[in-house]
Amino acid sequence: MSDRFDDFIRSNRDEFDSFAPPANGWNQISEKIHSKPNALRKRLYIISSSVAAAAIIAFVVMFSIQDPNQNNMAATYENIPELNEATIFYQTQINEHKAAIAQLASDHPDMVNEMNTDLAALDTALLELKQDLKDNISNEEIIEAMIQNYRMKLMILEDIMVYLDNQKQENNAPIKQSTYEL
Amino acid sequence: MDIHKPVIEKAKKGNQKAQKQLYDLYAKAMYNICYRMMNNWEDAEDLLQEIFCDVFTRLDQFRYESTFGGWLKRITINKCINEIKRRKVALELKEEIVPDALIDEEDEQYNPGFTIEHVKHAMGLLPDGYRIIFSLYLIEGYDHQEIAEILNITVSTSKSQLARAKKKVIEIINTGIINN
Repeated sequence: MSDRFDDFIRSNRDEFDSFAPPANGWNQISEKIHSKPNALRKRLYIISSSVAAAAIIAFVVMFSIQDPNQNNMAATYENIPELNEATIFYQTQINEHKAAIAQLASDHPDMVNEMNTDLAALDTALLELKQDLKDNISNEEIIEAMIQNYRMKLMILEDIMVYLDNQKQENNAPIKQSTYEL
Repeated sequence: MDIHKPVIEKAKKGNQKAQKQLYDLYAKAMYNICYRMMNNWEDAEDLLQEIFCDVFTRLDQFRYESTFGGWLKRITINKCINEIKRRKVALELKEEIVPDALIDEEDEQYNPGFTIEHVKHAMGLLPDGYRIIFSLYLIEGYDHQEIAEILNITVSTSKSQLARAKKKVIEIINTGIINN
């Protein structure tokens, strides 16, 4: 039997797909799936835990080495040349990375906020270590903890830079396809 | 080979531009499927979002055993059916013998003055079970065996319900044309 009704529908199939999807549909989907990449989220979680650990280490170092009977000359960056040199080196690297990230991360405000929180926690730990250095004497534990602090900041910034660079490369790669098949 | 393989591969790696390109290519077709299945715009919008989030999350499971569009369409239909079942809506897909007379009658009642807008309107008035089978067979192009698997019914139920659904659509359209 020839079914004219079936033929009518099949020959006009395209007219059934006449409704356009919601205008902001992609933005909502993109926001959900790209709020933060899983790997980077895990990495930042590990770093955040390390930041907390660094603050605890600074606290422990302060109490374990403090000797109230000591009246040695207060140690500063100036009278520890190795520390002075390391500080200049790391601080320059950190500033350069921060400037580069500021240019690339405009589409990732959540990531920038989280980065700033982690860096601020490390800054607080560093200030405590600097105070220990003044209150106490120059000693290897404090200097080591300060250098660890700089390295950790640099590690956070390098991770973010790698992620942003990858995103930029992938987003700039040309893609050409215009038809679809079901 | 899938014509979109290069785009799909990029999307698998999380490339946002490639993902958006796949969305742009398929969102309209999937949105219309969702609407036909759910018969409700809000549900169609919510499901469309859920489907694409799911698809991009598990895109690495797509192995090119079908076209990307076919894979996506099947996910879309399954998602809609699961949502209908989750709401505990009985689809009322009863097995029954449809006499040939019913099928012949349906063809006789077809009127060349029908438009697709008439059909779309009539589909919106069908019970869920009729509308879904009508849509899967005549619009999405599945055969009765595939529909039986999708809906977990027998092939004969699929056939009988389709015949009833078509008869109902034609009746609704004819009634509307007469009344106008």
